[in-house]
Amino acid sequence: MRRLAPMVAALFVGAVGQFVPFPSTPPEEVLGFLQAMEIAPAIKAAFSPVLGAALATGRATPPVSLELLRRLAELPAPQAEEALDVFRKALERGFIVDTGAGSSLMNRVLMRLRMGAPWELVKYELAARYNALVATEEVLLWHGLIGQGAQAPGGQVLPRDRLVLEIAWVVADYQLDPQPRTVPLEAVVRDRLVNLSGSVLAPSIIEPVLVALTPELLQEIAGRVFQVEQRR
Amino acid sequence: MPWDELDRLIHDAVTREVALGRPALEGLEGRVIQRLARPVVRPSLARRLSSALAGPRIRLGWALAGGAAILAVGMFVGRVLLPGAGRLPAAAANLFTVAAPGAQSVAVVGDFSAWQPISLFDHDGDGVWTVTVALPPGRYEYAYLVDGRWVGQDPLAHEYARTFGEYVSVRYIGGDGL
Repeated sequence: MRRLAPMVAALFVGAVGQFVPFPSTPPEEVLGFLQAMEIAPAIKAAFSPVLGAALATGRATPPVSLELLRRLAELPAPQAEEALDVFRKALERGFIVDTGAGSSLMNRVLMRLRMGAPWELVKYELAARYNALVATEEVLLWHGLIGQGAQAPGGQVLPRDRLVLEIAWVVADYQLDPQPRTVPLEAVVRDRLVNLSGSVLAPSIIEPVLVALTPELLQEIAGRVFQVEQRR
Repeated sequence: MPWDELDRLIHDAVTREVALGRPALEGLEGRVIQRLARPVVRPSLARRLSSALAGPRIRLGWALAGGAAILAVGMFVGRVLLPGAGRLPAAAANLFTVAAPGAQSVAVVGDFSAWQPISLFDHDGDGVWTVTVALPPGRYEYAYLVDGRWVGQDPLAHEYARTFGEYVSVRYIGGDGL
């Protein structure tokens, strides 16, 4: 019997021993929390419908949105309002701000707050990553590598939306990394896309981009990341 | 006691022991040959499996493979039979483990938990802390908090990312990134 004990234990761990990160959170709870925040009513009024649409379409997820709002509520109101304004602009353009599984603006703010980063740094990175989203979409559209997106938080999320997010994310990662550049940006982007192929991005959407990707194209995007004046 | 007398006593004792053991040695050669000539009795499958799993001679590779297979069966049973388990589409169980002997608390934070701490446990007190997190396919950034200290470079990570001087570890789940 003693020999069976480890087997039974392994079966039990396999069956029930996984930690599930998020409990289910209804969108109403997120929107209710937003309404209860002590921030300017105009900010709430502008952000609430945008967030509601984003939660309905999958551009944001309830658990991460709620956690973000909770953390922002602990900050001075002007800081919370600055952050919410960036998220509103991003969602109004149809960008994904939280995937629930990886790269996202919301999670990045949460990470920096968890690390105890000063607000100026949080704001700077948020602006840079928002700029990267805008620049990536514009450049890929200009080169005909993606079609027009929803341009609104309520439209259906398309695979190209996730492609824009992932390319913007890796370009911003590269630009915000203070280490000396030992690998060119193009190689880093290619590597990231290949790693995401088959999981969050279908190979059919990645392959045309890999063919068309050039250092010049990426430099067009990268050059706009540090335009701290947030783009409209 | 004189040395001569002690020698004699030892000699007598050894002689006595040899004499007592002699009957057991008589016919030994014949008994060995007879035993060798008997047909080999093959133990049952259950007995062989039991001795293979429990015996100290099992190879590490087979032990790990067996453990993984048992764990996989458990996961399958959990997914199929347990209420609520089906709410995790295409999720993979991911083991987060870190050696932190002497630590009082270890947690993992990441974009899979909105950077909220998930506690790791060291059940057997060997200094290796673990937790298994159910994750859908994707690219995840994470770090460990060892007694509240940020540990951003997990030796088991696929890659590291660094912005503004702080490292985070990166793990890919599913797809070609694995």
